[in-house]
Amino acid sequence: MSVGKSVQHDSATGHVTGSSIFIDDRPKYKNEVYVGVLGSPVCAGTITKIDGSAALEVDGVYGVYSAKDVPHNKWGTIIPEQPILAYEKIGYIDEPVCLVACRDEETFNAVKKLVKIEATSITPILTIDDAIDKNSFLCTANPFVRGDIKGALKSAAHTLKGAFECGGQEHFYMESQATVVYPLENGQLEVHSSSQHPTETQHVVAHSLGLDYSQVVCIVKRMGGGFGGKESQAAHFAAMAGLVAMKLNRPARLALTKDDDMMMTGKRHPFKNFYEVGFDDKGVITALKVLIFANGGAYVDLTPSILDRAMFHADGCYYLENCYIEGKAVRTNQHSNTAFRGFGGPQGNMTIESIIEDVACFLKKDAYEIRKINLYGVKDRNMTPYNQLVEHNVLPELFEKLHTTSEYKIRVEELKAFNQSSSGKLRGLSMTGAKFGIAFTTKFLNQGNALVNIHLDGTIQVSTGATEMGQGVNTKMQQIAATAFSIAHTQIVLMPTSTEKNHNTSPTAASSGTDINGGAVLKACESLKQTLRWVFIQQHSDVGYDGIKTMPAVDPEADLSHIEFIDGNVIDKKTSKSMAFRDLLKVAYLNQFSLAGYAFYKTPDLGFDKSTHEGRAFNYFTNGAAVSEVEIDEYTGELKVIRVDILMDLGRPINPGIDMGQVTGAFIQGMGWVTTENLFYNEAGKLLSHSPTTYKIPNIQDTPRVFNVELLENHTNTRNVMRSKAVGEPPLLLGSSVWTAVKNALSYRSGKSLPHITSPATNEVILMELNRYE
Amino acid sequence: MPLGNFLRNSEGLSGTKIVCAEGDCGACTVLLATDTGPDGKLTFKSVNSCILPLYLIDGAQVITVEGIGKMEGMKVDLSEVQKKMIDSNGAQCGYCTPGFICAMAGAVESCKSEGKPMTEKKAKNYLTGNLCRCTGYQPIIDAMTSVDLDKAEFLKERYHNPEWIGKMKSIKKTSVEMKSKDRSLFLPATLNEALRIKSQDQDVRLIAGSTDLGVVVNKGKLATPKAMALYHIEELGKISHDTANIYVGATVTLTQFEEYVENHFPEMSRMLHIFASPQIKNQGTLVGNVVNASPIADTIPFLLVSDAVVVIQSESQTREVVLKDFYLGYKKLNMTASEIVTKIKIPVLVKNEVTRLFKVSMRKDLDISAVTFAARVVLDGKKMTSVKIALGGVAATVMRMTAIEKTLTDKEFNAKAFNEAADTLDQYIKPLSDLRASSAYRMLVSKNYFTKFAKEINDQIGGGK
Repeated sequence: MSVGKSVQHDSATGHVTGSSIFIDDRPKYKNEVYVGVLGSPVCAGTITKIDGSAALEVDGVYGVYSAKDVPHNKWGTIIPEQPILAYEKIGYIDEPVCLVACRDEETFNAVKKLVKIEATSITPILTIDDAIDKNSFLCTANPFVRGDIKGALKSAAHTLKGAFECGGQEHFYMESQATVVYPLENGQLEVHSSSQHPTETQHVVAHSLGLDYSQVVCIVKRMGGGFGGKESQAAHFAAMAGLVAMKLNRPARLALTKDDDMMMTGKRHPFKNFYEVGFDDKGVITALKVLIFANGGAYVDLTPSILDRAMFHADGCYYLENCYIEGKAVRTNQHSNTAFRGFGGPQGNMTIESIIEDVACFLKKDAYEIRKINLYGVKDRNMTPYNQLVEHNVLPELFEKLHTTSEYKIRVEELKAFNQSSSGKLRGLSMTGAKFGIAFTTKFLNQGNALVNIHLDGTIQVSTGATEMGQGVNTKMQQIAATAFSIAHTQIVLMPTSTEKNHNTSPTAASSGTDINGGAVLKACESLKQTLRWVFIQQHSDVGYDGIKTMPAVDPEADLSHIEFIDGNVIDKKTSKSMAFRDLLKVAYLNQFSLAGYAFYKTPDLGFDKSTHEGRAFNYFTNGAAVSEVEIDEYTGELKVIRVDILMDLGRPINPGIDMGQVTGAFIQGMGWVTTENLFYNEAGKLLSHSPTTYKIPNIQDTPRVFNVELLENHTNTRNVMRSKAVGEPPLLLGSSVWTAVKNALSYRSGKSLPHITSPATNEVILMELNRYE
Repeated sequence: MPLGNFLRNSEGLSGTKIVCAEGDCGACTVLLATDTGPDGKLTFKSVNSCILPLYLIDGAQVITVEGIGKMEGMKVDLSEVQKKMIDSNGAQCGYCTPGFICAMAGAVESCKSEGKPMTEKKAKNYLTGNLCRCTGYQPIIDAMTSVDLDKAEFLKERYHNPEWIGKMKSIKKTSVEMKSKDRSLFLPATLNEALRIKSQDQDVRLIAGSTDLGVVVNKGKLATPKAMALYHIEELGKISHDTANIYVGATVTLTQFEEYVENHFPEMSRMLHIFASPQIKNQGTLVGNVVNASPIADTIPFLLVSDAVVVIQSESQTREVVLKDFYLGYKKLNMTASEIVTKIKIPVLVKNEVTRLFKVSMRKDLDISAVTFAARVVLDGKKMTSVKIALGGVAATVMRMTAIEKTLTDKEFNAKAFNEAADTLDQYIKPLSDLRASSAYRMLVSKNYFTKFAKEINDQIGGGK
């Protein structure tokens, strides 16, 4: 059985030999044009003039286009309000306002400055505080309310008040936004895009250019990383290239430089969350009030859903008897913030983990003790603030196991002693958890479809709406199909994702790629198996079909479960008759049966009503916990992560090797978010950290010297394909254990006050906080 | 044109990826040989092809990711590093992978040549210049440490071709001059020739490794219509020493410099640990770092406190300037446009001295510093007979703190004096706030470094509490 094995990534050989083809690796047509994008010179205001006449005089410049050239200049996943090219109202500095179609990148660089862009400027809104003051809101969510929050806060033995603040995060996918659009016959376009959401890209291209959806095909072979940054925000760049392709009737390629990509595209939402927590002497949280504020940037994009998820994860792994969780998103003059692995979940989860660290420090107890007594229970204390029961709850088991295997207790003792010596170094240790809700919280997105084409040599081509961005979804599809037919996974080939084969698909996002598309693949395989079983029965009947005589049509209801697929053969368990899988295919073909399976899958039982707080928000939870130990240089505030232990509950993993890579990758990405990844804007609101020289994602030297990752055995998840659990986002939440470990370290020097830091905990943030104590 | 663009656009070798175009992510890494080792075989080193102008590698041999395994049509016989990368799930999205594969192959080539095993520490050091956003690096570390060096084929054997090597060497001995209507390029083979060109046309821009220039050109901040590259000049590529000094020629790379110091002055190598990626160090030069005169250059603070001397030549004269007197202001140097820095003389460490280099940046490795601090104290018992302190990142140039040095010199060491000296720093430096750090942070770290250095001296002389 292929499922459960760590088979290699289906693109691994291509990747290591450099033969995997990404968008900008596609050979260029002779008449192809390069699309350069120019951004707004101001944060807020109006474009008054775009004059490309000087540029157009230069050899190799074919067109300069602006808002007036776009037939329908508004798009947006939730609310169509964002311009493809801005004009009347500028949302943010460096926002795309103008396209230059030219021979190549060199030509674009040479004529950039010849395009005159003039704008009037008004005072921008740049921070959450500023936006709150000016009443600039994008959306407000209904609060989650349980119990008597006022009374519980009043009667609590202790209360703490504060604000948790975290910064944004650049996706830093290695392949920047890229797309090539080929004009076809009859006004049709073929769009190749580095997109997590080919369907939306198809729709946005078609709509903005005044085409029918059926005139546009969007194809995604793979992405060089996505992380959410290509969920909604690949679409308008494809529309820009589409515009040029249509205007010139020539293939058009748009591949942003890293600098432009970082300046022009949205990032993880910064949050500022105000809270008031009540707790007893033991540290049991009796009341929690949180007012969540997300910085949505200039446009709505996916912000309402991200805000929802932040609220859904404000409970973390902990039961809240009385709670009030409210969420608002502000509109600012920044790049429109968007999906990023975790999708608001990390910002919600980290808030309560920070609060718990404070509670522990306040009560002079170890934070693990506080976490343990507040964890969701197995039999009781297991209802979330949004009325979903935490079923098959493994959190207590997970925390306890990790507490033991990470040698938490003894290390805390060692650390105390270490911090008493004056070595110039300070250490801290912390365990945090993740209980990540799996499903799109927007119900209709929980659907997928798959096409399974069996060829007569026994090999199979599978197409789904899932897009491959390195996470290995294609490999898992291979394994699911291979297991269904009991053949080798190498007999399955995953085809490029394309809207002509799989349409009306959802983005590959919310960690759900495998769940939804794997569910569809499995269904398609099962229907094909029913056909093949039927053919097998007919073939072995006394009728004697020879390909001329017609076999009866498949009865989908017939119970043929005794016909089994085992190791490349099809066997009747009752008669012991058997046939090679491949031979049976031929029989089916000769008898005119379809060997294509198409299936539609929707996640069952979902449907959360935001107004009544009823219904099921999530299909299940993926759980995990991490213990991180850090060391701070007291002279400089420099931070080193010494050791990390992670325990994840991924159900029955389809591919443990690939899943381990997801866990280490997500953790380090989360660690980067809370430590070195600092988005720096100048006073005018311009992002200055827009390349790896100035924006520091973790380097190989930042990977903890001791990095233990284990998976918890859990076979209970019958709600998902092959009893697996989604893995993409949940481990990112665990990166925050590094940040809470910093808080823990600081608590050894903070005296009577509680350590207070923002995220990311840069060297500067840490040193300035240490300096506050002296 | 940078090598990376040439490979992708002109040669159709799209395996090499360009991400940052500034030598900071390693996706464009290829292996480059511009010379042979003692065995007469090519020495391949990893470099960033995105910032490497083609004219700097005239005659050199390049191996791209396509040449790491053995390709035969569409078939490929995978190399040891490629196999291990697959086995360890070291590639996810695949965009950084070609760069990693080349850097890994280069590391294997080096370790194998030196006959040393691949440790985890080494693996990380060799891959410091490559960013990956998917894996968290652990799978790549696993891949690298599981490589069986015996099974790995020597690339210098596979690609050994005496004819190519002969050609490469003869090209390097030849002067090249290329001119068009608005551009010119010189690759002189002798120093005299270079000095003549520089005296005739002072707009000619000198190029050593192009690790800084390549970036500013890529980002459209500078055009170099007239360029002169020095690497054909054999004598400028030499490094040597006598009892007093190390002499480093203008085109000696940071890697060559580091290795030389490690072999001959191991006690100095700790101080000279340069915080850049192998790719940058394999291409960038020490003299380039000094002449570029960045206030946050990594090598300058140490060179300042060791009283390194810059040797400057023009057609008419050769003169020597102590580094302290070489910097006149932000990127302003004590030299004329017709002069060339031909080498740097670095005094070797003496006994009874405590020399330290501290640096802080946003990320520990492969990052530009916010503050650098170097100090050198010569001790006679507890008496400090010489005190030299340099701070970087706090002013327009790296600065020697001469006033503070004076107050400490010829005094008995005590930690309090250092702290008091640190408290006077406000009088001499006014650090800027920028995206790397605020002024307040830079000031605080500068002060703390005085405390830290005092502690190190204290430990050295066993001064106790």
